[in-house]
Amino acid sequence: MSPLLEVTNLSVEFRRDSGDSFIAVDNVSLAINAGELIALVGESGCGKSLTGLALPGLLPDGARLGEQSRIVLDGTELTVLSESGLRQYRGRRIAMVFQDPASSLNPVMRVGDQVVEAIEAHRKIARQQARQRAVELLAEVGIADAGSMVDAWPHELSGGMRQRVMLAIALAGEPDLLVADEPTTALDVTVQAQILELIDRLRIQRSLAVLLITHDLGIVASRADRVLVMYAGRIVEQTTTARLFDAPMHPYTRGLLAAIPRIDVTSPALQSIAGTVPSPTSWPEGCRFHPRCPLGIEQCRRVIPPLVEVNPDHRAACIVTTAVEGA
Amino acid sequence: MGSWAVRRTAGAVLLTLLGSATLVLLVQLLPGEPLAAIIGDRALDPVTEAALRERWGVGRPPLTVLLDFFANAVRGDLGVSLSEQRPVAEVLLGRLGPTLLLGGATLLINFTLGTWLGLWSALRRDTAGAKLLTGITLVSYAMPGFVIGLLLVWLLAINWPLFPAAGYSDPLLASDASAWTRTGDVLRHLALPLATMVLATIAVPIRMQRSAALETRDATWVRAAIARGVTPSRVAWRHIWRPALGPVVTLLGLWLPMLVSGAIFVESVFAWPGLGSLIASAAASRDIPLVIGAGVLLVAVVQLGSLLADIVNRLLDPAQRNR
Amino acid sequence: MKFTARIGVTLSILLAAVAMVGPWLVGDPTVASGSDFLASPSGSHLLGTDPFGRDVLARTVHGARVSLIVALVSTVVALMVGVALGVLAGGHHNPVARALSHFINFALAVPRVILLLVLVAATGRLGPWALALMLGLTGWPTIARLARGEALRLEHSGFVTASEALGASLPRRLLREILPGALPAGLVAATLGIADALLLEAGLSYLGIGIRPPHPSWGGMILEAQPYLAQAPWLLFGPAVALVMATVAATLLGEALRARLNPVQR
Repeated sequence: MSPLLEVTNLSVEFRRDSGDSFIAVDNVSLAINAGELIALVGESGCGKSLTGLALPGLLPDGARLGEQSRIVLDGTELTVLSESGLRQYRGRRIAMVFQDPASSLNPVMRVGDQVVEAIEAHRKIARQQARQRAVELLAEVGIADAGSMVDAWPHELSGGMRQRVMLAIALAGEPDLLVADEPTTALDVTVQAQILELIDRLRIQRSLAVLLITHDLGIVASRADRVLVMYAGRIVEQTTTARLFDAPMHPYTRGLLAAIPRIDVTSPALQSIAGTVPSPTSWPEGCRFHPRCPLGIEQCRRVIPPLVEVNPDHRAACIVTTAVEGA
Repeated sequence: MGSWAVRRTAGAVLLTLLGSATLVLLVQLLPGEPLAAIIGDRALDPVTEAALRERWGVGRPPLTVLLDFFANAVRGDLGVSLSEQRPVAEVLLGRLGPTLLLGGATLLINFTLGTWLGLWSALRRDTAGAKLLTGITLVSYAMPGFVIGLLLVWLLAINWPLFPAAGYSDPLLASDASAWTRTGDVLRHLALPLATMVLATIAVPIRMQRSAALETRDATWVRAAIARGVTPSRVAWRHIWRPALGPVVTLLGLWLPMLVSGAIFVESVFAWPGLGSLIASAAASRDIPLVIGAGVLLVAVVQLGSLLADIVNRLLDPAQRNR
Repeated sequence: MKFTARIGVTLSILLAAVAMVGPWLVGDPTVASGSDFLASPSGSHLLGTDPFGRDVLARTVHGARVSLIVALVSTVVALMVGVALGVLAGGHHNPVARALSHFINFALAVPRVILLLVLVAATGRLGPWALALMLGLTGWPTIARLARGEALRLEHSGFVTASEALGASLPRRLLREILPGALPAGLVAATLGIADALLLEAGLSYLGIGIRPPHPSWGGMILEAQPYLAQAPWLLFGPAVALVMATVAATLLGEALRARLNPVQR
């Protein structure tokens, strides 16, 4: 079965007012099948959000796709589409949910009207029917008493409920792919779990492909089928979730996992990765992680390590670990 | 909403009363008994003069004059105009219409054209057109209304005689002319004063709408709407313009005084028979009862406008509507 | 410095120079040349002559001096009263401050022009100094509102609270910490207020109740130019252009000041 979404060599370049440009996303490739949940993990500034925004063509002003970038959704190349062409895909084939539920909803529009707007954006339908569908969608995302909630104002809802509404809006166009950019970061921990469970349920019920963008490895562990770890604009490791947690290959991934406090292990101090994340305007030469890497050698400084297949369905971009421990 | 509306209305009434009191007391408390001098300057018959002195309290404590003023005002009696020898209330009523016409039309244009231009310049922020608009509005805002008015008169009434240079209607119009002709005549006379008022004041709504829209333009919900495939025009109106409306309406209330003072000068340039030119000529002829009467009315108008703006604003904001 | 700021400063300096030195360089504005009535601009009269034969350029330059002085004096008055009341209203939470706050809000409710018209009607012919005083006494509320806002902000700030913890009395805190903090914002408001004062004075003079003959004023010149608009439009242009330039200069200067002072403060 060919993947629903196939991204090859995606790059995002920013042009600044001063004339010079820098690359924020560097040669990212990924593939998602229908019904799969892929997690794109990384710290702030690694380019994961931009990767997500690039898919429906929502890059901010000043950002451009690199020449080699290819985004193929169900056989169609999206990078060559015009703005109005892309609009046919937004909401209808690719839906997106953002991080901040507090400002994701128009404060002067009723919640139901925003769902209806999403429904009407992609098909001709009578207002009454659209409203009916909106109520159904709100119920589907777990909003109790959807019939009266449809007339509520955004400020009357809690963060968790607003995020549910955002999901209902996302589903309105019956999309094939859902891109969720840090959907739970702004929510309380218990609500986080609920929203993730909801996303999972929707995925199963609708065979939705989901790209979950997050910095939180914890939520990845329970839900994702596969994980891609991103650092400084590049994918540094990609494999199944189980394999990632069992046998991480890239020193960065190992550092992230080691930094998670464990209740069953007593240790004198919390482990952390030395140094700070470099900004896109000042990425180190060669392997971008090498200044912070405990395993770094001279050669790491000179060449950007490619993603090599260490084991079946397990790729990592580190010349040290893949040489020593690889198959 | 209800209790707030009552409190806010009470506030507006109170401010109107205080403002009127200020105007009345200002005259009373100035040194040198100016009122006495003014009344004495005119050749009035002793009866009228005595009545005026009585009413305006030459020699009476200011507070009494003030209370009498309000007591009379409530009954519709604002005194007698010194220059026109008619009740002030009657004079004011006669001049109210043209001012409402000019002011109303100005507000209408400022809030349709002005908000549209403001939104447009926010959405097309970096284009030459938007920058040109900013420049033009800066200059038009710096030019006083009467200068703009005279320039327009020279340009469009004298150089190219397209519009009448002054007045409300053609005095030579036949008395049996149809309503259609009359209306057309008034509209022709309205053209230049209206254009002047708009040019002098439109910079404010444009700028307010622009800055409000620039803020909402970057809001997450705008991006979310684009992400679900909403058309650009709907995004512009429903998601950028509509949420930005609140601040603009509020600021309308603060901007009304500017409209009033603009009207005073513009009406004078065009001899437009409204309250603005009335209060200006009354001040020039030192007709104090008329000046105070017109002043009180204008203060009330400003407070009323501000009250309405606040009410509309509260209705527009769902978060405040239900409380 | 930003381009517009540069214009503002340059223009302001230029106008100030013209106002101060100009009157000695141009002719006498009151001298009526016996033969040249309503002459169009020419070599001997760069901006033409008015119906009385007086040189328009000379009158414009002399008018600059009067108008600018009136605008400056009124602004100084408004600044002093406005900042004082604003700081007192915002620098503390006692009943006096609250009452003053209400007073400031109420003072903002009456349009300035109406107050001025009533004052003028009551007091009759005014010399420039009296006019400047009246403009100042009606212009303080805007400055006071801003000063009050700044004072409120400062009152909650760390260093004022620290000073209170060290035992500084209220007057001392107001004088030593809040006043200097509120002053820059007041200055910006005042500079912008110069533009307002200029426009108001010109407007009143145009209505015949501001600066009156024999003092030349831009507003008065515009009034005199109106009946001759058809035959001698140049009578309008001299004072009108001067007025607009002065207003633009003051506004740009105020904006430049605001830009300058803000990064320092915040």
